[in-house]
Amino acid sequence: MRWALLTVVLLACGKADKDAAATPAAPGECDATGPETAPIRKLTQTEYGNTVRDLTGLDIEAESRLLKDPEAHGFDNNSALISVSQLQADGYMRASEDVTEALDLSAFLPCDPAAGEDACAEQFIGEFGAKAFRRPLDDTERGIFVDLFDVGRGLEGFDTGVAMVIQAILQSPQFLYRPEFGAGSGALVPLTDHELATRLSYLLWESTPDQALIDAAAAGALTDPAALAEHTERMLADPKARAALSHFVNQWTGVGEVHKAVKDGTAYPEWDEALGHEMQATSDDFVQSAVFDGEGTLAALFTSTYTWEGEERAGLLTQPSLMTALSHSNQTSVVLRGKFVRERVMCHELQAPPDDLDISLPPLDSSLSTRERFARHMQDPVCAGCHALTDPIGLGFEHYGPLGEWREEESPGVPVDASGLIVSGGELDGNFYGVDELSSLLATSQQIEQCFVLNAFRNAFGREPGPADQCSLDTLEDGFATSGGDIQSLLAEIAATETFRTRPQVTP
Amino acid sequence: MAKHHRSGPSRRRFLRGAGACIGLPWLASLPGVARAADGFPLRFVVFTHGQGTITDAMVQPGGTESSFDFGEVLASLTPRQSDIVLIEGIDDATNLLDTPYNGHTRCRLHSLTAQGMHWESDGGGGATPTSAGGPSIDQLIASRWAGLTPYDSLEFGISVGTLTGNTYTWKGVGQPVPPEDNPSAMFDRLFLDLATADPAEIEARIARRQSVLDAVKSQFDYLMPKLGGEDRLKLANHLESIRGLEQAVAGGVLGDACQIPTPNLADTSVPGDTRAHIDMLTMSLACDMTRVATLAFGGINEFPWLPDLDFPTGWHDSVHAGPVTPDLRADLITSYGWFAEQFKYLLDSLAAVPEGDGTLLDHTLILYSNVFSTGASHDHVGKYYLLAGGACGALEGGRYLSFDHKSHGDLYSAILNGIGFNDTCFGDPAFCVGPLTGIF
Repeated sequence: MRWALLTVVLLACGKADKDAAATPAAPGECDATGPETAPIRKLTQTEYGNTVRDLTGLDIEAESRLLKDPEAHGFDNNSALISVSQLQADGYMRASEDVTEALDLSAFLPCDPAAGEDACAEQFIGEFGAKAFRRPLDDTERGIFVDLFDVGRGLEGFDTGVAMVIQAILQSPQFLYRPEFGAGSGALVPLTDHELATRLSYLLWESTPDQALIDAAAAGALTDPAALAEHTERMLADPKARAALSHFVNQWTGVGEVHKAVKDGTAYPEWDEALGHEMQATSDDFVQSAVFDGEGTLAALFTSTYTWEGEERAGLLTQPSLMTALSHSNQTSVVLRGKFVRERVMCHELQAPPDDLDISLPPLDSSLSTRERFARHMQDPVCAGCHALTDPIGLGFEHYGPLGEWREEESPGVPVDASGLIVSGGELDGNFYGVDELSSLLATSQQIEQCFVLNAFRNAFGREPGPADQCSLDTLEDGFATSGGDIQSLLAEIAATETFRTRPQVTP
Repeated sequence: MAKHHRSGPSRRRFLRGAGACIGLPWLASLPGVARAADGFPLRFVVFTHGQGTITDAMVQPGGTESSFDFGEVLASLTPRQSDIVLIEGIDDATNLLDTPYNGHTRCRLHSLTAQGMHWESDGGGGATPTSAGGPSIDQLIASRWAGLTPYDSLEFGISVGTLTGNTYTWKGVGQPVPPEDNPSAMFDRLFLDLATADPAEIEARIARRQSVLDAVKSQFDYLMPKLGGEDRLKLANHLESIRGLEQAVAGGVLGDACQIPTPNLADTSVPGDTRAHIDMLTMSLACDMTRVATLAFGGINEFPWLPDLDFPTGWHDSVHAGPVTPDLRADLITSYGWFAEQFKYLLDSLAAVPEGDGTLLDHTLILYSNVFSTGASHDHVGKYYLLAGGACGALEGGRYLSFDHKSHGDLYSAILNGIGFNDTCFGDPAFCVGPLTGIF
């Protein structure tokens, strides 16, 4: 059903369909087969930073040593693009040195080396190693670090030996990657408890498991779905889940670093980086509050109220960060705003304009409305093929200026007309006025729910879904609909899928 | 600048030595390295940006190979004309494989790779290009010179960001080599360690890092055989980067002209970042930290440092509009010309480093590549390329060469031949006729 909805549209302006793509599963054939693929995951820059903070208690932003991760479909955790260059390896080395430099070793050690250096070092390697690798070390792994400790102690003494062990742990592939082997035999194998704990923790927190989760894994409890669900609930109540959820929403909406937006200083003297940061903080608060303190549904994300510059406003789509990012330096952008709704919210991918098209904007004219200035987009058939899909949606945002400020007039004497229209949008087709009506439409749409689930899948698994994931996606969509679009429940449902709890057997 | 010499640990290598334009006699038999000259190694640099140019403002009409004048876009390079070969009539022909996909992504992923993009099916039932289709010219050269220097290559970026479609440099499919966009972070990576004055502390740090990296490598060696093929490959690439890092840790050869640069890191404007990157790029070559470097520009849409330019809704929109009025033409020329000025600063910086009887510029080959030919049409046909630097005597500057729609793969294989390799083809073989002649 989902595939049909997503492919029915946009014949005039659909994206390139390069090769034969995934074959949709026929309706009714859903059979939980588990994932066809489970490529290795690497800690993203964000995950690395969170993990180091949680492991050491240090707040030193060691992740600033790392290069940013490449993005695909808006998400920075795509496995297909894992590639550690020498500059990145250098970053890992320096970040690990930042950590040992900042650590108070005597307070960090679980033992007193005066009572026996070797025993203390081995105890530390076993305990810190297990936290960092998110599972107990085996003898070979432990032996490599014990040998390194001896070398380091020989060079400069006990503390140096321990520091070098920490540096090596933080550069080891078992730490930087999330290798999964599962347990048992068969084409599809269940993940081990520790692997499951790791997946859950990075899904909900973008960070390493806490002690309670490690203990549960060590006790072999997590393969019990009820126990897994209990931990999911516990972890969703932790502040770390709020930050991870905002990060997901920010990647989904693709707002990026709004404080770096360039605005016309004459028209918008109030614009500066600080205002951009304030916008981002407002959006993050809004998202976290809607999901964790309010109703918690996707609909609530589109319709919950918040305050900006003393005004009460509603929904994700009116966020000043979003409106600012989706504007030009001196005017709004009906194209960018409409394209955002199409691509990010509705999951319709549009083609870029032909390369030889003059896409420069019509000149500013304070006597004309944006609708009038961009009339050619709708009247010229060459333009309308695509712009009919974007502009009439974007025009619905016209009450929000280039900094997301509410306005009744575009310029003196030119009142805003925020009449909007959705075409080729299936169940969403029709007229609306302003963002509040648009948000209400989107809030109750099954198609929008499905798009959100697709993005949640991308974020959760670090890859695009394939045909074998169809059943899991269908299950997630059904569950999401049944829950009334509850976002926390969706995360819990993801953690409960076969796709999440199993992997194909590894054949080295 | 603080003159810097490293005291002589056993790992010290000598930049100059017996042999060719290389300095490492035991490596002189490697193809593409041994160049007869005054004992300094050959380096390869790529300078690249997007948004095309105004093609009829690159060179004045009526010029000949040896007698020509730069057009308005390149006018600032006139003092360096004798170091430059201006090449016109190149098509980034492999773009035909992926037309009509968005020109920015397509042309960028094709520009240095000469390969069709790598497509994967996506969750929406279609397909999306997720990667370049092969290695970029700089990374191919870096792989062939691997191990000669602490860094096989260095990537300097200005607002290039992390989108796959914005990445110029690739080791291969699924292996982007993103640049460092932050000059301060780059300075820390390249030069902070050198700033340590105490030779004993330097030695101690080297010893610690080598032991740590040995242990890390042992963990890779232990884990990798247990993984499936594709995962193992990703870790193998990571391990290769660690092997490169070990050489960086051991320390490079510091030539007489090697100094710790003092870029103005406080100026974080685009021009400030560009100068800082070029200062560091120059010294990374002078200090033989690497022999392959890229300076790539991305995401620039405003020129606040050129306040007279009038691009009402940003550079990109005005580029699309094209030079339709005299004012807009003048402003576009100024914007493109700004990049030429940065290129000149790069050439001047290299020329300011004395090496033997010549300069670093004499021992470097620099490729100036643009993502598009004409900005307004965002197309890939009839492009201008610049080659600059003496390339250890292989390139004679001050020439203007006109080709009739030759493919950029053939230009790149000519470069490979020019620096001593024997490639008959670079990139997709279907677009290879043979290395262009008459350049080197």
